[in-house]
Amino acid sequence: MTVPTTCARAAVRMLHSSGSAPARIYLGQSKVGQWTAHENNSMASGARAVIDGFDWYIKHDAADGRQMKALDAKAVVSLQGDSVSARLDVVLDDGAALAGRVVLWDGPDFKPAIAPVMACAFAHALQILYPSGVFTTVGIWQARRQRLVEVPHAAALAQTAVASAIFAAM
Amino acid sequence: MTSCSADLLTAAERLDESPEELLNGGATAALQALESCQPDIEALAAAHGIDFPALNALWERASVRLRETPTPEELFPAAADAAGLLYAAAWVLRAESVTTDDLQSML
Repeated sequence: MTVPTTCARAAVRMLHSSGSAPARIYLGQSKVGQWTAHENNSMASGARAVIDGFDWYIKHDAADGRQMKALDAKAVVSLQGDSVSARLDVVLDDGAALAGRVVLWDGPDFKPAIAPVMACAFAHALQILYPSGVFTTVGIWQARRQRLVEVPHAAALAQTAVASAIFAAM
Repeated sequence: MTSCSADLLTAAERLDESPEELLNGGATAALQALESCQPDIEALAAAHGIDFPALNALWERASVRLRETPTPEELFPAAADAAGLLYAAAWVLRAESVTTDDLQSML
């Protein structure tokens, strides 16, 4: 799923910088669009899931309404001694505060209950990137599975010990 | 994984995660990674029983893509295209079995 993920990430960047029409056209003409007709059924269904997931992303981003402040914001986070590179696909203005969003295009589905643990490193990344910032949420958007969870920033930070233990075990 | 394919993978990830890197040294690093692997690809094609022209076309297309300077409006698609080709090149070098059809679907 690497190449479809790469194309989907580019489509998300285009959506936030240029709007939905060029982003949809790009994704449809990319390898993802081409592979929807792939003779390998698994490749074709995977590509269709990305196309459908992008349409879902457009719809839910519009409903969310918060505006993009930055794309591809990266920081190296220290979780109780372990260094982790965390990349937020989108940083959003949320009133006078900021929010982060991570957009996933592969991997398994997840239970909403574990979203705060998933969001933890990204909550720390926001603090590193914007040291004087105030933060509202970290969104985990599993676009290919059409599931999203918005985690309060404080709830994500509260999972630091759990997230650290997971990274330490990896 | 060979160091050659690891360099390609690193170059692909750089462009995939930060498209502006295409304009900030990422294209040069990727071209160097492609060129360092180039001597191996003829033997690789023979070992896998795939058409050398198809494999060479992947390298050629990636090189052409990386030498082009995109406009600001083209940056995201250009970086994604380059990253996709580099991922494909790294995958070919690592794969235990590759067919000419597999390769052509990447182009």
